[in-house]
Amino acid sequence: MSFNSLLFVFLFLPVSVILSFVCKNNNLFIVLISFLFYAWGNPISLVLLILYILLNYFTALSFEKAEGKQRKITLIIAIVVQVAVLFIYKYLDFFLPFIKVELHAPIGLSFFTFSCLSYLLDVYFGKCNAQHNLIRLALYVSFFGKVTMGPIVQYNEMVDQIDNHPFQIDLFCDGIKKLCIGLTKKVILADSLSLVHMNLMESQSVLGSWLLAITYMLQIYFDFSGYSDMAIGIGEMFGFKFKQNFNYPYIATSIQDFWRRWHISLSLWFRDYIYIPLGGSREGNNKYIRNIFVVWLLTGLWHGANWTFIVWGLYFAVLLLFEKFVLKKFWDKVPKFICHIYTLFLVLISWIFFMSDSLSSAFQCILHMFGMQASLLDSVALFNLKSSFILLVISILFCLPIRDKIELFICSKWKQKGMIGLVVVYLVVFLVSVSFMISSSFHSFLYFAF
Amino acid sequence: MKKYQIGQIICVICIAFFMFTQIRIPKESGANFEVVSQTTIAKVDTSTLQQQDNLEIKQFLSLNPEEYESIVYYKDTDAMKASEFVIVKFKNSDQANQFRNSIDQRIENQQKVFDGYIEDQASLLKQSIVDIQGNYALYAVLPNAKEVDETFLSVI
Amino acid sequence: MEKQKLILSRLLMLVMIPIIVLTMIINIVVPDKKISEVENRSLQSFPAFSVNSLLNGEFEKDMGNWFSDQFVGRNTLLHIKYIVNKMTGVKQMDNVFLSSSLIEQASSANAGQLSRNLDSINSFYASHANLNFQFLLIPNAVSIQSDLVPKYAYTEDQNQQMDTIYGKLDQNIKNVDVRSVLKSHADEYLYYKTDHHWTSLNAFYTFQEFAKASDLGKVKKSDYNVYPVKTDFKGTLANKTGSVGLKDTIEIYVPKENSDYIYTNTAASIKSRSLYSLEALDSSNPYNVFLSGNAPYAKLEMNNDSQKHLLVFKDSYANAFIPFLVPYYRTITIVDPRYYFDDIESVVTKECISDVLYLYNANTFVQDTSLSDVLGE
Repeated sequence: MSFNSLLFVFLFLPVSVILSFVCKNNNLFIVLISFLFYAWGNPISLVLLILYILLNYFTALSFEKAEGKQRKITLIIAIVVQVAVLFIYKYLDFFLPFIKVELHAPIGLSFFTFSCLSYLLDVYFGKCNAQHNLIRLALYVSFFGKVTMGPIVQYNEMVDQIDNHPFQIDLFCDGIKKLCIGLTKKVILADSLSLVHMNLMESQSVLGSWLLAITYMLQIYFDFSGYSDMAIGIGEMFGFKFKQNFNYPYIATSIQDFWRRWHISLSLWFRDYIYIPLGGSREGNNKYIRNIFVVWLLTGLWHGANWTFIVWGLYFAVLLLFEKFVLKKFWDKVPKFICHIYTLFLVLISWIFFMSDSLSSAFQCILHMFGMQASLLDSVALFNLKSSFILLVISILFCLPIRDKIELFICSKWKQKGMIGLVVVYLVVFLVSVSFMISSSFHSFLYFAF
Repeated sequence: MKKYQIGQIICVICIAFFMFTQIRIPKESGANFEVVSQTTIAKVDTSTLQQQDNLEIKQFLSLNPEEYESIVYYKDTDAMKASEFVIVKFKNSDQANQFRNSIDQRIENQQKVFDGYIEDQASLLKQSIVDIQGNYALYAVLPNAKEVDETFLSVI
Repeated sequence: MEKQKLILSRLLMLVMIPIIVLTMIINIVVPDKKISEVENRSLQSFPAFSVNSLLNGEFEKDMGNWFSDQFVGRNTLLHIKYIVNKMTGVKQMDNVFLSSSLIEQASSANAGQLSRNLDSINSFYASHANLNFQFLLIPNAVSIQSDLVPKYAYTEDQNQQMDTIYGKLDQNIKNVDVRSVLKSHADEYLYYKTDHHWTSLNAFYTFQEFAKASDLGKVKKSDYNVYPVKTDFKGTLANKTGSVGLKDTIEIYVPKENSDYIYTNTAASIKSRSLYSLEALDSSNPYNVFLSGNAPYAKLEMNNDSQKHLLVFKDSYANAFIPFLVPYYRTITIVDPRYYFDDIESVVTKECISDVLYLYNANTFVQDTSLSDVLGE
């Protein structure tokens, strides 16, 4: 089941919320509906999810009383098993293409594997105690708001909330708001942009390839941040407060800043569980550079088993090192608009690798963008530009943090009438979102394969 | 601690076992074609269907029957009905892709003819089954296609 | 500031919760619909449950489709999507251009099949050289009303497709090229705004040209009584896009000097003295008013003095054209190769065919996969 389906929004969610309210957000109930959500469409995968919960349950508990080497071995076994499963499902074909097997990865494998590893490592390093209550651990791993597409909430962040997440009216209302906003981003903006993007693949012109990259850049932001908004909103409806996963990444002033705003939960995970244990920046420049490369290689690979993702990750490693060692000294003296253009341009290039099937098609797109082997304009590009102009303008506007400001302005200027007007706007937009959901066949969430 | 470690090991074994059951290596069936086709066809209502000859296989499905080890094709005699089915045994499983493409094209052509025009036949096509299992394949546009597929799977 | 934010979200919640819950209840309570008239397809009903279908995800997928297909206000929502598309400047939905009229993109040719069809047409001529052959290919709105196609829109060049086809026809098959005639009337109501078919006015102009080319005599509009039989026709393209605000009128042209005839269409169990099916006007396919739609084989037998027996190979465009042919032939045998699997040679002999006409619209012809099979290769 996915958040942008009618069945979810108009049946599963309202029923779960109402029943949960009735039983005071009881953990067992939430675990059961999460299992139902997860199993919907592929019940067999639920077996793996449950086995993971049990595995991590037993593993962490055996840390409690064990010591030294024994402790380490127990940890390693659990980590190796889970990473191996991830490897087999996602990376076997890429690294060992001569082994021909047919495998369909359970949805959200990358996400809940990282959640489980977060739990194990938090307990191992003493950040948290092992969870004795199996239901509570099950809730952490399988909560349907985040099990399939994140955000990757760290165990230490959620542990206190797990036994204490009562219904709170204002949190709940904010959740509804986030759900509407996220749904709109995904169903109206991201899906429409993806149609335009697919049309533009036919183009061989400079304009066409720029539009191809730009539509992807916008599409993936709205797709992923929309889904994250819905996920966090759903969490709020059940009394959980998760940290934001996106913070207007396209207003970043450097690549470092960009990564503090994009898929925040993933970069925090890599920072806390790979980068810092490896020594971070505290063990000298050589180790620092090595750590950066390791983390970004893994970040790239996490997104998919393709050279394009590896290049994408390493590209950022190089840029971050460049910023740290070269730019940092004078970057605050550079005029802001240059910082913005610098960041946007470099991020745009990175998405070209991310969106391409192969390194050669990525380079081809870049060549086209700079006028090589391409005409300046062609009718595909012009047609799509004309048809999607309004969509592009609206999308770009919503990459900026203006929604809040507009709402505040309207509320302060027109008080009650303003608020009612805003609610009407939300309703109309919601109605349009539903109309888009009705008429779409299958629109897959871009991060679905993870 | 001991019991937790045992718990952990049991889970690891279960996970390994689970992975083992999930890995599907396309395997070849040694079943006899006659047996497979007879058993499967027994589940089909052939009262309005007629077996087609090689020329008709080429004509309607754009398949060359000589390429395969064995192939059988039945189609409804009424031109306004979409019911048909094919059972084929490949000489080698590399033929599966090309078979799939031809059948997908056939389904697409049929849908163009029936869609928005004769709705019940169009929905029959929407529920059509193309089941490729190693060296055997079934294509069925039938009211009870799922049942026929289950029989097919059980006999190969 | 924070307080205002809180009030806003509380208001929003107070409105959204009832709406979502009410929608859920209505969806569950209201009984399922079987077909969608707007989309012209059958709607998913609640799926049958089986452990197998649950395990392989079929049941869940069907249930999702059921919920979405039976969603309350589905038709209105589809119209809303169309309106939003038009308001934001979207000019193409699927393969349909949105303009003051809905126009289908030119189909791309299925090259292999197309040359097989042309070869069969030529060899069919060769084996029946004593018959009078004619080829009438109707261009679609995309090439005749090209002014309505959005600027920069991509579409195949139908004119070039037609030129290539004409080039491959045997010289002895009379080719009636109506493109320039239609182009001269391009501003008139030649194609339905909401359907991929042509209007009867278009069929009339085409017939006028055809009659001139085939020496059937001069034809004037005043030779016919024109009756509008449906004024709120919404066709296939309206179904596809959920369009709003566009509708069409179907007219029939009845010759003032008409022959009596009997129309036999066994597939639709018809033996009648009219080739129009007025019941079709209220069905989901009003265009079927002409000849009751497509059939593998149908026949018109007239009681006029003509010595000619015509065999027509056609697609659905021809249905609006054939009524114009009635006074000029003794019998007209109508074959739709997509559904015809019998022996055409016996038809040629038994019905004493003297004339053969190929009557297609370009979009269908370039993708046809049945003609060569019927003609024999």
